[in-house]
Amino acid sequence: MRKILTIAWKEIYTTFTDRNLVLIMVASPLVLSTIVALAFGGLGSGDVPIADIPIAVVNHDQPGQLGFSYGSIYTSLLVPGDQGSTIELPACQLFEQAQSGPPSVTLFGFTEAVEFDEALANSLVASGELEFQQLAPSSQAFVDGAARAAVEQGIYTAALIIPEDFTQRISYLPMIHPRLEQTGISVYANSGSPISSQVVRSIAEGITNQIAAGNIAMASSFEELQASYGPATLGQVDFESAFSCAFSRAGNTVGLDPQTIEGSSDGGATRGILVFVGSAQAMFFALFTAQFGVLGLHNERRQGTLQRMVVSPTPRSAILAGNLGGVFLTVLFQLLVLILALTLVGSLLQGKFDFIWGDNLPLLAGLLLSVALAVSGFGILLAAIVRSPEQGNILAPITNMAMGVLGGAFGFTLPKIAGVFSLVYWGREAFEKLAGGDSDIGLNLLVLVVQGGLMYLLGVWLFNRRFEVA
Amino acid sequence: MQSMVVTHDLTKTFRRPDGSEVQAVKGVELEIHKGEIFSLLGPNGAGKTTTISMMSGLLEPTQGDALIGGHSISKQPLQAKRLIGVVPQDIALYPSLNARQNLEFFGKMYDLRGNDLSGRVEEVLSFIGLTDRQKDKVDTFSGGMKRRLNVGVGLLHRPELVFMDEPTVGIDPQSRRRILDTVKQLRDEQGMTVLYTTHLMEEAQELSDRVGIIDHGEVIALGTQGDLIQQVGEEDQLVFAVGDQAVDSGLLQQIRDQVPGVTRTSYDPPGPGGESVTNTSGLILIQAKRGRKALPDILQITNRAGVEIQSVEVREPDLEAVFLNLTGRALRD
Repeated sequence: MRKILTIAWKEIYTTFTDRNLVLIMVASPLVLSTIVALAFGGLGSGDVPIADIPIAVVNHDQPGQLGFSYGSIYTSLLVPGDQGSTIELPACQLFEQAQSGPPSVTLFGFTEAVEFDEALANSLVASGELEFQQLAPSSQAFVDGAARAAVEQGIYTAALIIPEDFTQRISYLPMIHPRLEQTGISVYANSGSPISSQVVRSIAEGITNQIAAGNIAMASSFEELQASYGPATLGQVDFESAFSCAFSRAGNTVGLDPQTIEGSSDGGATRGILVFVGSAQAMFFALFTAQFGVLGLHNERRQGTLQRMVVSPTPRSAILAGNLGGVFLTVLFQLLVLILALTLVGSLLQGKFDFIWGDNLPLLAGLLLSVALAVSGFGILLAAIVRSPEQGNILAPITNMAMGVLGGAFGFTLPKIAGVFSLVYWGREAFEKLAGGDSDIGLNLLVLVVQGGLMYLLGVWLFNRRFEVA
Repeated sequence: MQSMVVTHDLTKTFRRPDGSEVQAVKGVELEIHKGEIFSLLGPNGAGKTTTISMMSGLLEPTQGDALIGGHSISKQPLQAKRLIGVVPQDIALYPSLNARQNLEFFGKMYDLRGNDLSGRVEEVLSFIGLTDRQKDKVDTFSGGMKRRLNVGVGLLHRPELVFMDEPTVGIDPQSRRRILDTVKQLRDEQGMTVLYTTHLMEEAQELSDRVGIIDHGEVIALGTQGDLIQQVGEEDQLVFAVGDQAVDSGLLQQIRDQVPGVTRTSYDPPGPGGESVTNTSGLILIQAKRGRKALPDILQITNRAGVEIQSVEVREPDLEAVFLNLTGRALRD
């Protein structure tokens, strides 16, 4: 065992003292991930900071049968203004219960929204800031058109248009309107800022979920009010005030849909891209480390050091185990360094410390081990298939590029049906899930461990069969 | 005398890519005594390295076995390998590690640890004269320094038996001298047994207690230098350089007939037509018992024939002559 560790340590030492190798192993994925994050994450010159996404909120909503407008609530969640007063009613307590769960963030942090109405549209046109011509300046179509033009001309990243019957559609009142309909809200986004636009869409989804949750709370409250005060009292309640706590800024979190921006923080898009591209790039480059590490056995044979080990009282199995163990540990160490370095990059970009990989450290450790096993297993298999380092130097980039492309290492994804063939996909998806607070990565771990284990065994078998020392 | 190495019918057959087979070593039978320097002498491709590779456990014999200190290299490889130190023909070191790290790594492969390891590393560094350069990476070393370190790694665990496979190939005369002295020191001061392979007759002559001559995978002669030279008699070889002058067969016949002790004469013309294409001068080669005594008579005959002798060399019988006698070829061919 000591000899295995000695050989493994020698592998790690020789790898990490080779400056050029370290540059390829660590610096390359780090730089590439950072560039991609800067380019697409809202921090580069082509986009605006994620914390200040300019949004035009066009609210056409009319109050519903209970006398208040969900559109106004919707707008107030995005546009700074008075929070109004709230009264303590059971609905608030229920709503508080409904939103218990993972911590989430207030919406103000993300956007710099304005209520875009006819007056604002006219003033922008008048000042020459917005180029827009419309024959009927007082119509809804004029405001919508102006908002879209403002988005197209880069004044806003997105326009969020709330339709006239929004309250009607979204209201859930057991007696009067006992069903929810499609909201009809449209998001008109600037294609030049895809990530910011995505965040706006996520916010829209989140608010809609919020209101849906509020409705559930309200339905329950109706029953409680009726039971406590009798049906006659319902007509005397100021519903907007009564239920505003359910939608107030203090409580307006996007907490019901984890697929949108649950658990995010300022700079969530950058973070997401760093996790996405960074993890895939880390695995992509780790594939090279593993392959060239195992191919190193061919080089050791050429330089005679392998023969030197073979003529020492060291079993061949220990030599192979030491070498492969060294490759595994090197890959693991490389992944660990990249995880930490990407965290540092993410924190620097956001101006505050942010461990971008989620808070489930035991699962993260398990994932790193699984990825290292899968990646080094693939490397061993490839090194065992080729006859010489030269063959490996040709085959490795081809297979790795395929793995990287299928797995999303270059910032874009292919359909899942293609991605599942890449271990990079399984690892990257698991890293993304953990970063998003989702611990459901059992299938990913299983795939990585089984795949890695099988390739390891097959590679070792082939190596023993085909590799000649002398 | 106690045996350190005994081989029996040691054979290695390789399969070529086209499926045909080539027998690199053919049933080698050797016995190397404890504490002696035994040289395996033969031209390139004779099977020296393959033989040593089988004895050290690097190659599995196709047939036969080698006993190292009584342990079969096939059946008890770990016990046998503990007794062996190998100095390979090519430099076998990690270029990105320094001298000390190389020694420490390979020392651990021989189960050296802790103070024992660091003590031995110091001793070996001192022995090979690299104490001052121990922290330098091997890829900054000269060829001679690498060779010395290559030797040092093989000696680290105080082996009873050292295999040295042409350790002086491609190095400067000073480093070569140092290695040859080291080999003698190993025997004389540390009591080690050395199996030394070479294609250089001078090295085998200088170092060896006994010599095995190997050619085409077979040991064709074995014994002390004296034993082997006796096999070819005690004839000297006289070499006369004659430049580009013509030498006819009549002159050679006359020398053979008239000079007592001369047994064989030949003419080696200069340039491509000669035995060695590098000859810039024609050579008259004469085998004679007590060659120095025959020299005046030969000079007189050549003088009479009008052939001007430019230089004369008297070669006493050596291993080269033995090899020539046994194979009909020069050792360097």
